[in-house]
Amino acid sequence: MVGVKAAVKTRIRIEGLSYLYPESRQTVFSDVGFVINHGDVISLLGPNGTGKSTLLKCLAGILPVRTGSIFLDGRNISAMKSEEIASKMAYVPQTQVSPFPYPVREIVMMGRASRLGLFSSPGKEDFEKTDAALRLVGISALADRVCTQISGGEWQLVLIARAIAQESGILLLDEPTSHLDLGNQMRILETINNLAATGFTILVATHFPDHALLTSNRAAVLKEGRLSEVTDPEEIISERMMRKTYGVEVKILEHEMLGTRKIIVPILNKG
Amino acid sequence: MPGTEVTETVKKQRWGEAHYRQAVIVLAVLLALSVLSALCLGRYSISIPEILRVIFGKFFPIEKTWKAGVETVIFQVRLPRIFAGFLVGAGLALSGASLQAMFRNPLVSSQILGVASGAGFGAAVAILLFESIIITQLSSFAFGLLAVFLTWSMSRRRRQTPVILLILSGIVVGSLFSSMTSMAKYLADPLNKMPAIVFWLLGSLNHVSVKELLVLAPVMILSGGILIAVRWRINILTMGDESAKALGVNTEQLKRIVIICSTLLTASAVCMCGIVGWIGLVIPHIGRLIAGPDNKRLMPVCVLTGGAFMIAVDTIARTATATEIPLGVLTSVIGAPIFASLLMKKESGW
Repeated sequence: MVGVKAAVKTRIRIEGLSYLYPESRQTVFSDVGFVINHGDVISLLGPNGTGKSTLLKCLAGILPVRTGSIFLDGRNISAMKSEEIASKMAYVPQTQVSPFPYPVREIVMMGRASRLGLFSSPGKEDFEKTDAALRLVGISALADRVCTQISGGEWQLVLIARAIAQESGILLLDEPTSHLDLGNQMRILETINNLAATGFTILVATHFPDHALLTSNRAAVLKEGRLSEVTDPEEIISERMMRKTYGVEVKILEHEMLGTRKIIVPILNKG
Repeated sequence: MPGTEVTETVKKQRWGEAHYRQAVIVLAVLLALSVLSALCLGRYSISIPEILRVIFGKFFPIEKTWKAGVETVIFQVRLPRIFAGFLVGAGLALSGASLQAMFRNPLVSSQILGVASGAGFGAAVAILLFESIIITQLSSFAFGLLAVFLTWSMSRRRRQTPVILLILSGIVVGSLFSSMTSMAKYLADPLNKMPAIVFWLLGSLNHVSVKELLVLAPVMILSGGILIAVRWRINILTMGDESAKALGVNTEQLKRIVIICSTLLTASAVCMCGIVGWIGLVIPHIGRLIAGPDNKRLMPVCVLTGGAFMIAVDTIARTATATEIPLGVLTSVIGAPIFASLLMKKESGW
């Protein structure tokens, strides 16, 4: 390609993106612009209801872009079919409800949809890719379980496996660690790190600044409709930012046993 | 939860590949049995060897040992009726299964979009105003399509068709047409026209002709075939619009396909035999108990079960008593106990 700098390859470029709720005309966010490069793991922070999920849905092509533009590998996604977007980018929703008790393998196999024609059903190759995705996430044992009888943490891993079966290189994760206990949260974070190591580009919306420190090379804060600069999480996550964004007092410490890693310690008000 | 593991292993075996193959074979045998008994039984009963000889004789030059009337009964009366029964049963079951999946709702059947109510009104008005069966059928077909078109256009928002709006619009359109049907019944002459309307609304395969089959069978086979072809994508649609879209499914296109095909199936079925309730709602549930929720397996099972059930019910309808029992009544009288006994074995969910 012409004009691409040797080292970094831009996968997604967002320019002047705004979103209004179509019914109330209320602005969710405006003039959001940033770039996601190949191999990035970007954490999107921000309080509840600032539109992190909405931003991910715009990127995934679920919500229509009316103001601004999103370029995926140089092409405007408004002009792309949903199967083209899905073949390059997988979206992992916060929760998924299945009205039918499908086996887990069947749910993961749905990730193959963008690779198959309208009238075709999955074949041998799709079964293999599905099993590989289950293995990669470490949930092969769940394959024959009924999806309506698995826990929230297991569902989240199933949805990540479905996104991997999609073979799309870019993952958009919408609060993958919400509603999970500590053990499952850490499993998800390990999975994210493993995927990043195998070359996935990842954008993750999260409520936990700690998780940004544990997984990301870049982070940004979406607050009151505005997106901060997208930069090093250690730089962006400060005591001042935590006070401004979440209204809490924290101390950010470095523990000698963890090397240079920072940890966030909330200070609770007394009385 | 105690017992969860047991249920799961049961499900694993029950929905395994081997179990599925067995189930399909059993259902195919049941279908064959219902076809055979439908050929044998009736006002004029024919023995199985004789039936085989007559059908064989159609294709191979063998000596005719049977009365001339037998051939007419088999080829002009019973076979078309059996074929029509199969198409109606399979078609209603298929459209019910697809719509239940698309609406993610177990209470949905082919009635949900207003097809049946529209078609019923079309038929009632035609019976009221004309004497011709063909006009009745055409009118019911046309009003069935019109009702779905109304439902569809009422639920369009910004080039999207949210499922919840489709359900609500379907209810509005359906109840509008049903009340207009009641009005037609109220206005009808109580000696001739009203019984005709009522009988038609309850459903019967009595007046199916070969000519009609030649027109409607291709429509039904084509729409059923398309639904079967997209059945794996219909699975994905049950994850909801947003997830399906993010997985790369063109949800609007797929919904249009499901709506058009299931409407054509239902309207053709209503056009052939009036309104037969119950099948579109219950056969998919019976199918899920047999084959599990995966539409890849469920849809073929629905075709076999719906077809066999309809042929069997129709055979009872025309042989049990001196006059024909309406199909709509029989499907529920026979279907309800079957479904109830299956339901009671089930643990939970659908």
